[in-house]
Amino acid sequence: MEEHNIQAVKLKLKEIVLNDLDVNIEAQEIDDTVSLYDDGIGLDSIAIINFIVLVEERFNISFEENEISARLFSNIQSLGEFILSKLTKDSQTVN
Amino acid sequence: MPYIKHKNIIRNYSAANILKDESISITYEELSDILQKLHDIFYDKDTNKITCVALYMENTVLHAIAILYFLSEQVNFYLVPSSPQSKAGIPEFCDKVVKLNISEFGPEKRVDKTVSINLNPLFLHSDEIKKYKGGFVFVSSSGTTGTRKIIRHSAGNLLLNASNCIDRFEINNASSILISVPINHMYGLGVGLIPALISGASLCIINKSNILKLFDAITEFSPSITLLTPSIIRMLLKLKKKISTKTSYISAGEKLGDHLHESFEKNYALLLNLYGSSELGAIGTSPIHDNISRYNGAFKPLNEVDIKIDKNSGQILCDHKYGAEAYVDSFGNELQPISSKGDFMNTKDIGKSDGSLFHVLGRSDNQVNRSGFLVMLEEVEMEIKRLFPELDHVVVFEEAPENQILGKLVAVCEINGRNNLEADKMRSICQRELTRYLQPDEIILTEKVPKLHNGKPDRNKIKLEYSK
Repeated sequence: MEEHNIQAVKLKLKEIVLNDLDVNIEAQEIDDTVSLYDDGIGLDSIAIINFIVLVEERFNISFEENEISARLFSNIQSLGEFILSKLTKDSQTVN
Repeated sequence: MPYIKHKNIIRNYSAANILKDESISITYEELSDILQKLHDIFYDKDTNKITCVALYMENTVLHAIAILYFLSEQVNFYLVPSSPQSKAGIPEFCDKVVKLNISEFGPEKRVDKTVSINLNPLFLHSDEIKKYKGGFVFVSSSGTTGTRKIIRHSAGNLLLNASNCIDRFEINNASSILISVPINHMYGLGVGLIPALISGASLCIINKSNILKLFDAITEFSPSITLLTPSIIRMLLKLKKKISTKTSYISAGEKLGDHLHESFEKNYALLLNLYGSSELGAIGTSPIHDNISRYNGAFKPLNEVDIKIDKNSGQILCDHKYGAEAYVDSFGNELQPISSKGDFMNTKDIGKSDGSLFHVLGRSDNQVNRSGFLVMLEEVEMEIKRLFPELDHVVVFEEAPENQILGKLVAVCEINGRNNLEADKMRSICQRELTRYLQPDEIILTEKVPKLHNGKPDRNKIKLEYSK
């Protein structure tokens, strides 16, 4: 179940990058471990901001100040794992 | 014998204070060792025979240390811009080209593997450059036009300019300075790097800065002062987060706008505006500790800086004791003097005085006559941004009249993915909210406006692209 959810989360993240950010890349260029900025996909600061805002909206989560970090947002895999843990924690809190 | 010449520059450091970037963290105590290794390399090349070094710049501690070394040794040096968009080559007055390969430095601190020194094949030992015996710093600036200018500073004045910033921002060896802007420009160099080094403050430099690295650095380094630009401020405001660390922020660049300034301080911390230029360094800041509202955008001149406003043109004239000496061409020939003591230099900005303070209204070449009113295009831009705070960049220009008597004011607005804005509706709001002479005649929405390599909108290109 968790494996399915992580795949869904990563897919949704990739869709945001491809469809909603102003980046000129193909779907096959985004694998789970390629860097989202610097020498990878190369998201600039404006794209990163838009990405953070969209991720918060689409997943209905809010990043704390210490969660907005280069390490967490380094690639789809690390970000996806973190979002899944946040979603799981939030649903446990509600229950 | 450990290297000690840098102690003529660094006043009083705490040995444990650090200089760090993403890869390296060294203490001031370890600095002597690295400077000695640099000296061994350059001494081998005979520093006395160096005419001028061109240093390829990146935002790293090692580049900062190289700058400190050249200042200590009174070597002439030119800072090659790090921007990939910058097409300018190495000036012919530089005989040596230095690159630092940071990845070679390693835990063993292999300075010898890091530094590469090559000859500039285009070097021309002109009569003019022979006069530069030592102690000159050349920086490159494109300002608001995108055309490269080479500006010659004396190292002595650069250090005094930095001392002014130390006094104004109360920097000392208990301070910790975070620089997220390029250190090859006067802002990062003269307001951040050199003041930090002189004071022996802890220093953190971000290379290829992005918003994530900035958050990391603020959280982990916990600076007392952070250097930003208005672009970064707008991005931070979009995030709508609060940062709980106690850093003060300095912003320099284009005007921010009072409402953004207020929003930023509400969500983040104290924001100090800096007014300056590549030519004169730091000229004024928003008042600190004075019982004056910061939100009116006024600046207080730094020590040893006199400001007056020309009665006829409204231009800001500045007498700056520690400004640059001259513009030079790529052969080192002096094109135009910049500042000398007692002379007021025209900053080409329009301003107004406010007691002992002054306001900057905009560039003098950015004003038009609208029905008898002299309108600053920047004022129109500020008003549009005030009405539509979600806009990142607004550039207003006057379209030359063909069959009309008056030119048309065109506002080009960068929407950057925001699809809820409509030009017609925006124009109606402007007509309702703004006085007649500030209303744009046309609003054009575009995904992104062309930019200069320093991030500022390229006004010339925009006017060319969007004029009919």
